[in-house]
Amino acid sequence: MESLKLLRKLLQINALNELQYRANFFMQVFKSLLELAFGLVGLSIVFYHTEHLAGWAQAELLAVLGVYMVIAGITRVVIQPNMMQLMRDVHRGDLDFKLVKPVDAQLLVSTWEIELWKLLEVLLGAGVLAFAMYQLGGLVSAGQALGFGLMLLCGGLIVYSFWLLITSTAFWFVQIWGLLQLFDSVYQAGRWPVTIYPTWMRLVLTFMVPVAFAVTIPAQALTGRLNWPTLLLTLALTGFFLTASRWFWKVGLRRYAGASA
Amino acid sequence: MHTHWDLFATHFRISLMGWVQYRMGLVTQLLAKMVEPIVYLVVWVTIARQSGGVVGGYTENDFIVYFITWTYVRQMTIAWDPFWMESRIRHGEFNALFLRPIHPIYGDAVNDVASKVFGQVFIVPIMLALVLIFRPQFQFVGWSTLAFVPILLMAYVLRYVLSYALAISAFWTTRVTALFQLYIAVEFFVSGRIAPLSVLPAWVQQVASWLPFRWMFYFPLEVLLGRLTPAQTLRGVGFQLAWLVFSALLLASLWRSAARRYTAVGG
Repeated sequence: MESLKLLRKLLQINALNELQYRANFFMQVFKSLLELAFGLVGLSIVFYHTEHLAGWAQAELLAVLGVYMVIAGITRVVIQPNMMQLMRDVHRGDLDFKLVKPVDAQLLVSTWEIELWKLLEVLLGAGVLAFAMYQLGGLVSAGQALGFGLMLLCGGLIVYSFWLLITSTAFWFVQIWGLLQLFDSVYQAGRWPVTIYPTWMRLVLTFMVPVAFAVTIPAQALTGRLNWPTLLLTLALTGFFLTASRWFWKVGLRRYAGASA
Repeated sequence: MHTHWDLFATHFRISLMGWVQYRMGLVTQLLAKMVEPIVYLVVWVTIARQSGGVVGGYTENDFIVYFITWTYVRQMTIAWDPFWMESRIRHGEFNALFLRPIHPIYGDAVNDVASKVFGQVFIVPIMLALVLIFRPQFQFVGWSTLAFVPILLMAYVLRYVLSYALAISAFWTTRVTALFQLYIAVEFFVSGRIAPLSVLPAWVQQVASWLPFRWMFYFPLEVLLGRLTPAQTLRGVGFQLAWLVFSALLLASLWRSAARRYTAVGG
């Protein structure tokens, strides 16, 4: 209950902050539309030559793009800004100020910064997804929708856990900005279903960078390709990554000595 | 002339040492840039395989060769200045640069060349790894492989000068990033980045022929892959030269008014 109140306050502060810079909103509109155009034109060039890609029909590939945009949007709204801030806090010793507050530090560092305008990317992604669903002819059953929601949540949590795992290495290393960038760029591979990639890449995109769990599996759930083993595996892995990242964060925190004092 | 040469040599040495010192940044940068071509490679090879082996005159093997050499051309023609210019101006870095008796572009360009020279150490192994993974069959033609070297250099110079001209617009607007993003988006589709131009719809190819982008990216690739006749190659070099003259004039005229406009910030 306390945490929820805290989240609401943080959201309010961030909203007030962002409302000061309204011109940024229009910049974001421009950027997000450009991003959308990127994805759609890319797909249309592929569709110019073929009706389906490795067993995925046009509308299904559109659904993959929609899920990709939603997850990427969520990453930009809350995960990336917070992890960048965490990295800076560790290096400058500003993390002290967050640690002395009487709430769970992981919760605080994960929700401190919220880039509200970037919610637009999530909305556009949802729009693409809705259009893809319409094209698929509304064949989605309640079970599929439920599975999709669950898998999307798991995907988001797994992506968050990975970011936290990587960012926590800041307690040991200085140059991790490049690592975060690398992780972010590999995520681009999620614009396409991971099943089109060769085996070694599929392994990388499943376990080293969780593109498969973040994008492909939710899209599979929506298009009725999800089976029980995959669903259970995803749930188990979500639990595992959440626990592992929290553990690693705590190990790192123990090493943190505060640079400013 | 002699002092100029000394200046460049010293500048080059300093820049090179800088890149060697912060090599990890360069390596992660390079690795991050590898994802894009691999994704396209897989997508296009899949499409070619589905459509009976050939798409737009490119076979599966052609696509693999295209996107592996793509990574090299991309790394050699990448330009970072537009991304940095805005913050450099805002932080007053040009205060000192304007006091020097030499145009700032020389220092920036030498630094960029140094990153490309040092980058070879990492790009070449990455290319070899890609060749081992995807096992393409190369069929290089002697003269076109030779022609590739100067044509790639021209593409680099052209892209650098044009990007720098764009970067200079940061003297007028603080929104240069948005402008640059639009530029990148257009370039992305009509330069051969997302796919060989001959695979794209006819109207895109039409648009591409009126813009400078293909001469900075697709053209060197076409030449290396031996897809052009000597006459076509010469014609392409002509286009490169024409666009280079245009870009250089644009840069020079923009710079003249930018320098007059500049008011120091910070310092």
